[in-house]
Amino acid sequence: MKKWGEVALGVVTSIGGFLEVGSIATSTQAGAEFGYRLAWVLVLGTLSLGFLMEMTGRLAAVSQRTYADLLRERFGYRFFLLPLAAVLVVSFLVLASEIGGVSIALQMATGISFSWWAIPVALLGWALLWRGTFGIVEKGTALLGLVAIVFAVGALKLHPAWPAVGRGLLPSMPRDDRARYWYLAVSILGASISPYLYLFYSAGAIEDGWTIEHLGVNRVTAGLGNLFGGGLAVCSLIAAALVLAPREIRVDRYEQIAMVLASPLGRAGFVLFLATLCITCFGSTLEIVLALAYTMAQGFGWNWSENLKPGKDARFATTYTVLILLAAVPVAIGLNPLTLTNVAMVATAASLPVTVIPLFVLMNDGDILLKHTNGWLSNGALVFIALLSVVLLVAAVPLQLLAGG
Amino acid sequence: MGGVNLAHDVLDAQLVDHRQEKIGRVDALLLELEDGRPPRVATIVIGGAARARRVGPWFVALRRALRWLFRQRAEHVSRIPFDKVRRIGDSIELDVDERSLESEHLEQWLKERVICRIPGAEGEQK
Amino acid sequence: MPALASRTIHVGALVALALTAAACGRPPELDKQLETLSSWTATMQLAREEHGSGAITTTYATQLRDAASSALEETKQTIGQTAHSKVDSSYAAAALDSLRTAIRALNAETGS
Repeated sequence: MKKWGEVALGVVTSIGGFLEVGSIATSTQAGAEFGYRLAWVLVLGTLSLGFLMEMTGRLAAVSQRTYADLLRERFGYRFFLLPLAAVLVVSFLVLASEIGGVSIALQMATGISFSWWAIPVALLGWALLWRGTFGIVEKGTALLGLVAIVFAVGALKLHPAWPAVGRGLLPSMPRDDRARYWYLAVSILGASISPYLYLFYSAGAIEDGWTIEHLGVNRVTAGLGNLFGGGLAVCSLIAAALVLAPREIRVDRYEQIAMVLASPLGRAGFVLFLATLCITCFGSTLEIVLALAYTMAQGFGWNWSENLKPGKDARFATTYTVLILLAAVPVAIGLNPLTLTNVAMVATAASLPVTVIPLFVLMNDGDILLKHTNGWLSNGALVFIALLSVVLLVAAVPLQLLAGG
Repeated sequence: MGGVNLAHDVLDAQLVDHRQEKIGRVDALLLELEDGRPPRVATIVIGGAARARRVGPWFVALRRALRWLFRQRAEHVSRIPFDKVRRIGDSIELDVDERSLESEHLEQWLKERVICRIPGAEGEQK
Repeated sequence: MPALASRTIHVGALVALALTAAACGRPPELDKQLETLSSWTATMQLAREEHGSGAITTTYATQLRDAASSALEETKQTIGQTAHSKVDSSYAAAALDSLRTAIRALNAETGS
């Protein structure tokens, strides 16, 4: 019984975790500019993330070590520094964007410019990490993150033509504006498949005390959670496709996105949009900071846990403190949050090979996973994702230069 | 077939002290060579130049330059006799206390000077 | 090469360039600016509707208006920096005007 409670929690966490500033920004930009036609990329991203999370979760449950830990151990200290550096730089950009998301939401609500909110938001996040346990952080953001369901309500209220949506869920080639189409595709994938998500999931499995008994829970959590989360992202794409695209409104500023829910749902939609943006971005802020601090602590062998008092894991605590405060700086000095987000998404997409390819080796290592190594389906998926990650790496910079915004 | 694969199980393995606190990873092993006797693993080394060497010569040079710049004299290295090893498993348990280790210098320094200055830091579990 | 012949070649090249430019229609840069203007014009119109029906707050509508105004200024500057044909200039002027009108309409609606 307790196990299924955990499943429910895990699923709920994934819903809120999936929808954050990156997916909201990229999905609505895609919907506004290309209607339903990029929905298939969301499906691709969601499925890929689901597989990756199941694998790092399984890794943690069976070996009782997190992915970062095993990466260091299997491949050595020198090699480990490469994925560490890549994840640090890229996740830092995403972290700054999430703080931007909360700040913009607060600006839209109060009229006070977003740059003033960055430091207070970072301080609040820090205080929660300092005093809160992993359970509180996880459950709190999960339950509050359910407000994101407003996107589904909004999309349904707009009465989309489901056959057209269905066609959008299948891969298609662009007719015009090709560079922009593929640019948005890359940024959607970067928003969906973020390394911090599966690194955090792996550390979370250890924090929650998962063992071999939890492999089923793991599979359901990773699968269902991402299904719902991805579904919400598709809903935000649909809403943008029906509210913005017909009027030829392009999303150039975050402020324009609120209209996507204000149109079908009135004031309630507007308020809930702001709440969703605020809460999901704040939740992601905490998640990313923890994921980065975990990765460093696990890789370097420091004491770490969100359940310990900071005095017991001083380096871990110092790391998350410094990171969250530093990440507030780009937004505090007034950088355009939407541009920051777009760049962060593309950078994430480009950085995937260094964390996806080593996973392939680990998931087939019988010493680590005993008899739970990858089957043909997981391996097939992982090979596909690895190839995809290389394509993204090659395409990212040219597309950013050609069609970025 | 007993014995322990040093390269696989010991080098770079996670170390914990007698209270299960994590104290870093094995950065180097010192072997004792005596005439007429087989080599003996004498010491576990944590931290310092040994760790820097594992990244590469450029990192050793960088570290040396930074230490000169910040006028650091003390080498925060721990050399623990191998007979302090209690258990070798997923991590290696040592019969030492983290508070007495030189290599935990940064952790202790941060704890005293920074972390414990902020309310809410003391204690065991949250 | 004799001076007259080289000058003829230069003039010929310039004429060819001008003809090509004219044949390709509006420069893509201008297209992008026009799209930005029409996007913000439509944004202002939608905002006016939504404010009228009470869906969005005045605080928020004002922020949208400010964003539209700065987009207007930026675009006006960018367009002004390059020379355009008479036809293109009139398109640009019309688009700028539409946005200005839409911003004024939103102001009237929000009372600011």
